[in-house]
Amino acid sequence: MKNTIEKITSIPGVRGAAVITKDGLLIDKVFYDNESSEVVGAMVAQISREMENSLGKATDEIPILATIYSSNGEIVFLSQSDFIIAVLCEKKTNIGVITIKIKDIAVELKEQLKK
Amino acid sequence: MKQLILIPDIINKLEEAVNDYMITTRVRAVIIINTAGQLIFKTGIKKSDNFMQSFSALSAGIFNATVSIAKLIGDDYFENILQEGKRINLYYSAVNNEIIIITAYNQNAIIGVINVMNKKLKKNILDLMTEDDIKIKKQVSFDNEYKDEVENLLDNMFK
Amino acid sequence: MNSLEDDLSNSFDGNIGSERESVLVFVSLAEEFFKNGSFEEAINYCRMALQQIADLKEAKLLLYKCFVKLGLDKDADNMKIELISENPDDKEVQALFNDVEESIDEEKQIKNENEASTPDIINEPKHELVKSVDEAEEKIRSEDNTQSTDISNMPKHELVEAVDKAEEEIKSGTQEVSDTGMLSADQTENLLDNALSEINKIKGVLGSIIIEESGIIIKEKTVEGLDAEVASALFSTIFYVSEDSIEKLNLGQIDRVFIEIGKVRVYLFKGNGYIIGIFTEEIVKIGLIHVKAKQLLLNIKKVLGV
Repeated sequence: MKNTIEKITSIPGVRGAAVITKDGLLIDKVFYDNESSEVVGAMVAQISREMENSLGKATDEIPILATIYSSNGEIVFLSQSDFIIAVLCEKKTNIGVITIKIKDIAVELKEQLKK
Repeated sequence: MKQLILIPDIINKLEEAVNDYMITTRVRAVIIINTAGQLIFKTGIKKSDNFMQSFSALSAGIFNATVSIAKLIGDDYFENILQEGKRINLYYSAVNNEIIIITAYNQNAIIGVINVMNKKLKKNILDLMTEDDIKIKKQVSFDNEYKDEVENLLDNMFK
Repeated sequence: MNSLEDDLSNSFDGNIGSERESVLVFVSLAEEFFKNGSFEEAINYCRMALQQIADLKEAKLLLYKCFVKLGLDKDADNMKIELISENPDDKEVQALFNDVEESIDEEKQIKNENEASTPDIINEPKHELVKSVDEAEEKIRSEDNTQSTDISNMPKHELVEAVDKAEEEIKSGTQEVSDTGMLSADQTENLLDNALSEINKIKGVLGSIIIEESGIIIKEKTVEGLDAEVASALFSTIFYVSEDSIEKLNLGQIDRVFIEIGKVRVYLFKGNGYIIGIFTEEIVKIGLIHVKAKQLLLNIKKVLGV
């Protein structure tokens, strides 16, 4: 699983990526600092829960992809039916590449979690 | 050794910190006890004193039991313990080896958020705690006039 | 112009009848430029003609007209003197001067009339502005106008401030809408409605919504079947939840949020205490949306009068 996540962290500007449960608990992570992963995980889980309550549950077929742009960095996350992938990156990171990669690794992780 | 002294000012600040925690995490209730099983603070729960005493004592017992396990594996105590029920879940979190925060939550709350926000609450409680040796003493001073008056009174008694 | 070009080509193709005829072609060209308002070009061609024939009356007359049009009074006067001295009894020259002077007078008259009907507040001195406001005030009182105005109860120093403000607004191109400087509810609604309609006009945009950061809907033009109340509560929560965590992560302030659910995309922008939500299809000009939303956020405080 770590190898799969590392595909995203190898993109320049990415500060870390994590796979978390819908409850915000970490399944696996590649983060440069421990504190960030927990905070990102909690935030992403909470937003994802709110979105699902309002817009409908995220499924593997129709996941929820969200990007939060802030003045010093960006958080991209993809919410599937069982897990969420969250990526923390710096300001000038190529979000397009991250969006494509995050969708790719979501498919891989789904397979891995099924096994 | 730090202690939580419950004077009105501290209680207000504690209440504020706990309310903030409850709003952010959407938990049902927060109970703060000590490892001796005494209830220090509670909010979000309307049960009788008897119930609360029993609950505090049993919860402290659970935490103390896990302290022994922690010591067996070379730790002082477990920082967080989670008990999952059908409707209500309990999240135990140790501020230090004497004070425990118990959070009761249902499906509306997210454990990841509780985990993160609990750290902030613990820090707030630690900030409210004061060192044991710093006792709040009210110093009473007697001025010379008062002393003279008392001495005169005593002298008069023995005249 | 084609005919002129033909003239030019003809004049060079065939044998040149006379020097004067060939030089007049330059004058014809200059006249065309004069008619089109390209006075400098016209001057150039006139001078080219005068290089060939120094006393060519037609070129000088046109040159004079160009100088007048460009406001080069000194040059025009010099040319007039030159023309009169060279052609003292020429009726054509006299007629031209009369025509030109008449047209100048007419233009001046029109200009004066326009200035009289719309006073130049920008250039008017402040004391005169106050005086004119005083006069207007008097007029309102004498007419027993039932409409209440703030001016009637306003102390003079406030009046001067109001005049200053009006002056500033006129200079900046924004108009004051009412005496109190606030838009009426209808005007606000219309402005917001127009702003959202403009965003919705962008190809691929399905709907848009303006909410207060607490989640209260201010104006919405969303897609059918979408509960605006639910959406606004969600948008507000997203920013509320994110802000706390973003602060912990030292990421500064949230600028915008993008959400993709199936084939629908939601772009959220926050600023000045308001959130704009824009629902779009998969393919949309995000740059344009971004610009429009930012523009609206910048102006929203002014529009809502807060």
